[in-house]
Amino acid sequence: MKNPLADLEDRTRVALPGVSITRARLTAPERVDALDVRRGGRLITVLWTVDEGLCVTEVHDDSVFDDRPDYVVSSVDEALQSLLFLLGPEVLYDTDGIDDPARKAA
Amino acid sequence: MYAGAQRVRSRERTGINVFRYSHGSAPIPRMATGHPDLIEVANHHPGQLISAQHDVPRGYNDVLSFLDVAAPDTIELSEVTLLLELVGSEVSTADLPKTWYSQAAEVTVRFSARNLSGDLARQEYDALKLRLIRLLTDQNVVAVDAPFDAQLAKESDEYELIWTTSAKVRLVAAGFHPAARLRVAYDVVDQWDVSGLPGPLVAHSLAAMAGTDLHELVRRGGVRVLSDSGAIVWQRLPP
Repeated sequence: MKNPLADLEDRTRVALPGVSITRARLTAPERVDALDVRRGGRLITVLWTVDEGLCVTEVHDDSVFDDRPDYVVSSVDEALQSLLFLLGPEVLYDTDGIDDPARKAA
Repeated sequence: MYAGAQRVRSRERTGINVFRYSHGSAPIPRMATGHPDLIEVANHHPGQLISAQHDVPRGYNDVLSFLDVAAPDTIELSEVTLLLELVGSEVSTADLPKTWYSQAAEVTVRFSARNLSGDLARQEYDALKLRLIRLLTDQNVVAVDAPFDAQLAKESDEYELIWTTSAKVRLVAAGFHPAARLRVAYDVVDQWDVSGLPGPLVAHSLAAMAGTDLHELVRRGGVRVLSDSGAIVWQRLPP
């Protein structure tokens, strides 16, 4: 699989305007590459390797290196899907209060 | 029973929150087929919360995906997991959100994952299912109408009250902040009046220990004080 991150970066900028994207500068980008997608206080890292494909993971302050990735995908379409899932606007919210329903539409 | 797992997003982080409600002896809303009406249950009749685990503090988070289950409280867990397995085999080709009904049991399952389809939807489903089954198999879950029990222990110079594990789990799940224990010196025991029931200070002590008021504890099933031998030495139960 050829490094797809340039394509993913372009499509992410179109699908999620306003995000900040940083490409990692790695010594062998033809075998392993990464980009960080930031929105607000959130950070999603997309790691691509020849062997594994694309791993999409939200990074928290307390994340550890060997955390399992949230999503392992094989195409730019799927990686973009997972970025939209994690960063896109939402219309449902959970409610507070012990006797309230657990979820309501906004 | 209404149970669910949902991936939620706060300003700081994303995680999976799971919860389980009980309908106790109350009827669960049903469809004409006899299956639980999951949307009605989730929106209007969830029952009473008996257990929950939160990756993200709950309340007004974005909900990115959810997996809901509704069934009678008396359902065999195997019936629920069987339907969850069957749904898993269909998720990647389903048009989400979608509701599934068991052919053999009164179980309804609903899954939604905005923007996800194919293998990604399956990955998300599996992540939610794993957490949901973990919660459903949690042995610490007790009936919603069981009283909250505190153990009374006699130490050398004081009495000590400690919540039982199940009571503490339920209090935490209900969003209260229970104290681990409460000690009362012998010189105030006359006022505390464990033996001469009911002692107003016992009620006050239990409420303070639970992090809520006595009325709330009674509404949720009552509260009891048990001696070392398990005998009930004080209780306040729902009418």
